[in-house]
Amino acid sequence: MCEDVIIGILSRLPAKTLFRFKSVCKSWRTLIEKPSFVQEHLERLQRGEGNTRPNNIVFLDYNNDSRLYSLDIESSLSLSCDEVEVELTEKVRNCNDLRFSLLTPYFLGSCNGLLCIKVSYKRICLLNPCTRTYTNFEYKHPQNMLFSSFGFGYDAKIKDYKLVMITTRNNSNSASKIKVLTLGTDAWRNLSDVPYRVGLGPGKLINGALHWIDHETNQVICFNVEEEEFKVVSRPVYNAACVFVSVEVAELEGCLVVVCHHPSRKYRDVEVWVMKEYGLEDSWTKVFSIDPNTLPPLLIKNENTGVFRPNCSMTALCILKNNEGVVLLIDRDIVLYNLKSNMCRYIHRIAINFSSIVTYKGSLINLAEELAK
Amino acid sequence: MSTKKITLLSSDNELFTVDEEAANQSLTIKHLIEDTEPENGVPLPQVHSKILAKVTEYLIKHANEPDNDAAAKEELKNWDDKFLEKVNHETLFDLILAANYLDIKGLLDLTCQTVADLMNGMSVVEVRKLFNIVNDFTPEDEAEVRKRRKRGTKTIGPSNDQANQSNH
Repeated sequence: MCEDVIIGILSRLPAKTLFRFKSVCKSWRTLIEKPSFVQEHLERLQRGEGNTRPNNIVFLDYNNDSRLYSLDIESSLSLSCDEVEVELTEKVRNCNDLRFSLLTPYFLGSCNGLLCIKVSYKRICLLNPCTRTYTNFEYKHPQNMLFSSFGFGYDAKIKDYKLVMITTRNNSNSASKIKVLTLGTDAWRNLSDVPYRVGLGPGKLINGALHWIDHETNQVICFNVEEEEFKVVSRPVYNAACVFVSVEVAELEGCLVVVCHHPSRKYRDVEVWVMKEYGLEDSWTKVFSIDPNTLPPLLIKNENTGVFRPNCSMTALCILKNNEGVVLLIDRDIVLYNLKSNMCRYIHRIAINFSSIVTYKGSLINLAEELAK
Repeated sequence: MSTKKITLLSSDNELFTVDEEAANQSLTIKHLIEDTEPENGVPLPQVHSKILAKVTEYLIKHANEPDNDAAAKEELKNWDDKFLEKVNHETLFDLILAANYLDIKGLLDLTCQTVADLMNGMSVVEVRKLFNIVNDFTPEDEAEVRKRRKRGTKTIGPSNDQANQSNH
């Protein structure tokens, strides 16, 4: 079989499986490590082709910040959880900034299968859990900008990664400050202030732009990574009768998704909207609503007292292909809500105290250094 | 509306007739017709009749791809799934080679994805068997790979008790 055909088949496999298949024979190993193959695999991933359910959920251990856990949704049936050890603590200690130890490492975002982790006020780590490689960047945290939202994306024009930082001040009248850092350069660049106030979660990368929800207007705000410009994306027409307490952005096969819920009604109004054609207001489609009566009582009731816990946190982590289901995080339970059967099942209870959680799609990108020990 | 018929000639000299529109999905056939204007069928010496029968079945079904009709798209997708359902591995690989040679993008995508899905749950040994690959790593190479893998990953305990409780 010619190499073109082998590439056609292998480039449709998840990165984790390909990592395993490097042991098939020498020529496959060479092929899978080849930059042109890595690129082809990445492009297929970006187009949402091939790889069935490439979603992974990754979280950092709050108590022991040298550990990072990655949960593969695809193999969630086996209910196993891979632990990828990352030597973060040692590096933090080495830079002699333990006075910042209150700040545990946390995710600034994920892009192209790479996790961007803020290790300290002086260091950022890019990590690919699939190839188990990483690279560190020196970094200067801007002064007086402690509570900020971040976004991490790739600028295909300059072939480099960028971080954007949005700092909203308590004074509700003031605009948010914007800073951009191209990884590998020293200085944060200031952009014009924007009149948006976004939540603390990392921006969601869709169609070359990072997305957040303005928590005052519930509008979707986006930042184009190449052009470095902000704008408002039209939002779906939410059920007018509901006052949505929480709205968030997610991604489904490359589409922008908005999830809205109203915790005080015991999740009676969880709605998931998909923008089928990016930028086209008319293409907002309500894909489903979650019927809270089908959620296992364990999830919405206190285990010991049996009392409903309407205020527990709930976020949508990712949505599976073909609208099969949505993966929710309810407090520390990762749950798969099946849309066809309206049934819910546990995937995993996060047993540790985690500081930060993101999803990523595995890529084969090889960063400079391999994970030690 | 009258459509031009195209005759295809397999490696074992069997003839297959399809509409020109169906045949043109294969860029190889399209170019052969344009360049040589064959009178006694387009000769396809690399494709056996057993495979060409499957290929023409696909070409006919996909001749008029629906653009915006969601229901028709869904029907076609279901047809694709069924089309390869009972195909054995050997035929599947022959179909990939034929789709590659005939340059039929849709069929190549479909067959490659089917093999990829098949492989996803396989062990390295099973993959070698499927592709008829001989393991050319030395025992030393393999020991090194195992060592590297071991230090990278551990598996932490599953929360099985919760999983069982929640399936109601």
